[in-house]
Amino acid sequence: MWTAIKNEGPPIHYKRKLFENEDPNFKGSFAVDFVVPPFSETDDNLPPRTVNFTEEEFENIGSLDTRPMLVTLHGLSGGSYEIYLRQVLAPLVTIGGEREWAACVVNSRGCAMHKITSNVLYNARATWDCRQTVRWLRKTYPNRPLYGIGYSLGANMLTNVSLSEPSGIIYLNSFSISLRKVRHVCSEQLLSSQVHGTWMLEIARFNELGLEEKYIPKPWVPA
Amino acid sequence: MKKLIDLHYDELSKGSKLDFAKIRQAKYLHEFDRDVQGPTWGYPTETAYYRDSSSVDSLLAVRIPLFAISAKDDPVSQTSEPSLVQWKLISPDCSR
Repeated sequence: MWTAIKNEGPPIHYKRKLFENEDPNFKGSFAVDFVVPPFSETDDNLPPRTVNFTEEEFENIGSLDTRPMLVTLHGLSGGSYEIYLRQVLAPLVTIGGEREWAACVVNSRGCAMHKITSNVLYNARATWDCRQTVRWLRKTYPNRPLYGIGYSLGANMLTNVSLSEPSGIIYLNSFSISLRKVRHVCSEQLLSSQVHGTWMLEIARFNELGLEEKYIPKPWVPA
Repeated sequence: MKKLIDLHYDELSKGSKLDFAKIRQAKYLHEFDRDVQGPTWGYPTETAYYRDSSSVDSLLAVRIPLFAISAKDDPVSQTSEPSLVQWKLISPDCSR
């Protein structure tokens, strides 16, 4: 429903980094959008409020801070610009102080104006780009507790990511919204209802997720 | 989805197994998946793709805290009997 409402949603500014997948089976680039403080530059080749990192900026991106970090996977054919996703990010990344979350969005290949660079596409079990991102985040931000959130198809992918990491190593604490558990049943339901849209829950109820109290933000209120 | 395929046609068409004329004619998502995901990943049918990519098997094996919520009236993923049964595999307390 929220995707059908023509509301601007909260502004979230991103800087983009293109990564090359290290696994030859999944060659090609993918775009990760990192939430950054507001800026005024624009780039017509990218979604609104999104520009590329300069090499210099990206070189110094690492940190030993202990802020929690959220990895976001969007829904089918969406991207980091989606309103539902920004509504969830807004209260987390504007909370201020040491409670403020860091966040990034792993865009599915070809989405959010990413130009695909190989014939490897994405599908509902495309865990390769997210897994590499999580490994990179672990290395770059060794002290940050990592959380993942996925919406719809992204929820399905995130659940598969949670599994595909080696057992005993906790990479992500995951929340999945509108999880597509049994996709062939979903497809039948989609056909029977003929509703070609997805209903999203607006904001995850973080206080029920066992998060540390200090990370819980006040809900974002639409203007 | 069809727009995305058109947007990336130049890169996709290199040595591609895809029938682009057929993809452009697809009306429903399952038809798109049949014509794109099938040939791309070697699935015989779109239902085989859906089954293989479903996260229900992963759900049973996840070993990190995972919180999942789904709208009861979600038009795509409703709390219908089959999925409720799947949830009960994970928690006996699971309810509608």
